[in-house]
Amino acid sequence: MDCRKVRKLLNRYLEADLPEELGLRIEGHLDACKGCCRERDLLEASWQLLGSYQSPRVSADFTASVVSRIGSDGVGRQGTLQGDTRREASRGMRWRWAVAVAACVLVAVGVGIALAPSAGDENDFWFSSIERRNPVRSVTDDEIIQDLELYENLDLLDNLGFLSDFDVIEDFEEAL
Amino acid sequence: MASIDKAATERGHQRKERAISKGSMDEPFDRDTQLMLRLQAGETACFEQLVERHKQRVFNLVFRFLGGSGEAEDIAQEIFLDIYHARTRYKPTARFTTWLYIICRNTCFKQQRKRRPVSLSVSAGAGTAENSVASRLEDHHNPSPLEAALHGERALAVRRAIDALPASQKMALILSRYEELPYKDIAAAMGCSVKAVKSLLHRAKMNVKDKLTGYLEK
Repeated sequence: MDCRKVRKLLNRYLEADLPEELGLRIEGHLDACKGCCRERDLLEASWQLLGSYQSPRVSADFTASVVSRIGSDGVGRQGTLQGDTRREASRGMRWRWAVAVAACVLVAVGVGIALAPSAGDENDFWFSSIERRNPVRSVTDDEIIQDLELYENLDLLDNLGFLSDFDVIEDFEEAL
Repeated sequence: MASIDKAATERGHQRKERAISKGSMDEPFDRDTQLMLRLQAGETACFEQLVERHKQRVFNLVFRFLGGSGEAEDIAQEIFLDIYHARTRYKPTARFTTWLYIICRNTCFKQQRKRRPVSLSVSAGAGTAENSVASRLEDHHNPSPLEAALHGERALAVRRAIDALPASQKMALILSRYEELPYKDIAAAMGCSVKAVKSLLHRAKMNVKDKLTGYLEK
């Protein structure tokens, strides 16, 4: 086994999280390789050293402080529960109002779109800010063919990269 | 409308009462879950019990994640306030501690984004917040001056190594090394897969090893 692979597996080896055969192979490598052996020792030592990072005890009045902060946020323990219930109820009412208003707006927009004047109307205020699209009144064959060529060219432009590669591949195969 | 709401609330309370009594008979809910359900039902005294049971755990996590900050206790208190205000949204689908760790993780990540960790100096010239935390550490151990200096230097090296980790690696490491959670619980707390947790821990351990090599080999 090479050292790179062994070092990738060292953590799992130390946790005994490897199949037995693989663990034995790693052990064999560690017996012979000082570098990987050092890595293993450093991993073990650093993990052990983490235990020295202790945290102090919380202060004796921690719980009392938490409870008093609840009291100062609301109107007292029992009152806070009732206050919370009232706040939640009013929050629910606000949500219902918001949904109702949103529904009305959607209906108004839908009605407005449905009642919007047709494309030929000169006083079309819905699209006054948008560039007018002239409806097709008559189309000649030449115009259709021109459009098709334009579309074909667009396809070519979009796939230019692919086609270039295709040409390269064809040339390469010919060369072979 | 008010009478319907009241009836619905009553039915909710009755469901909770049945759940709590079922828990005490068959023990499908652990003690913490039962306390949360009773808190939801209106027994505010249960909240104090929850705080007492978990205050040190929450403080330890916040303290280590935020680099020994003097504000760790304040932030730990805020976590319990969040738990209190979110009590109506708690559902006993998982252990209470899982939910607790999720809230801790979210708060710690948010705090880290807001601030830089306070640097802890071994010397006596550090600020008052650091001194009060350091003095509580020393009082706890009563070491000799030499031991205190060595311990302080070691703790500082470890703290710096942990502080240098990205947030996710740091949280995974703390939950694994200090809270001794199994992979499955770490994954639940961090909202990721067990495989992701193993990957995070692997990288965290390698990074910590790299940072501590200088201290270990001197």
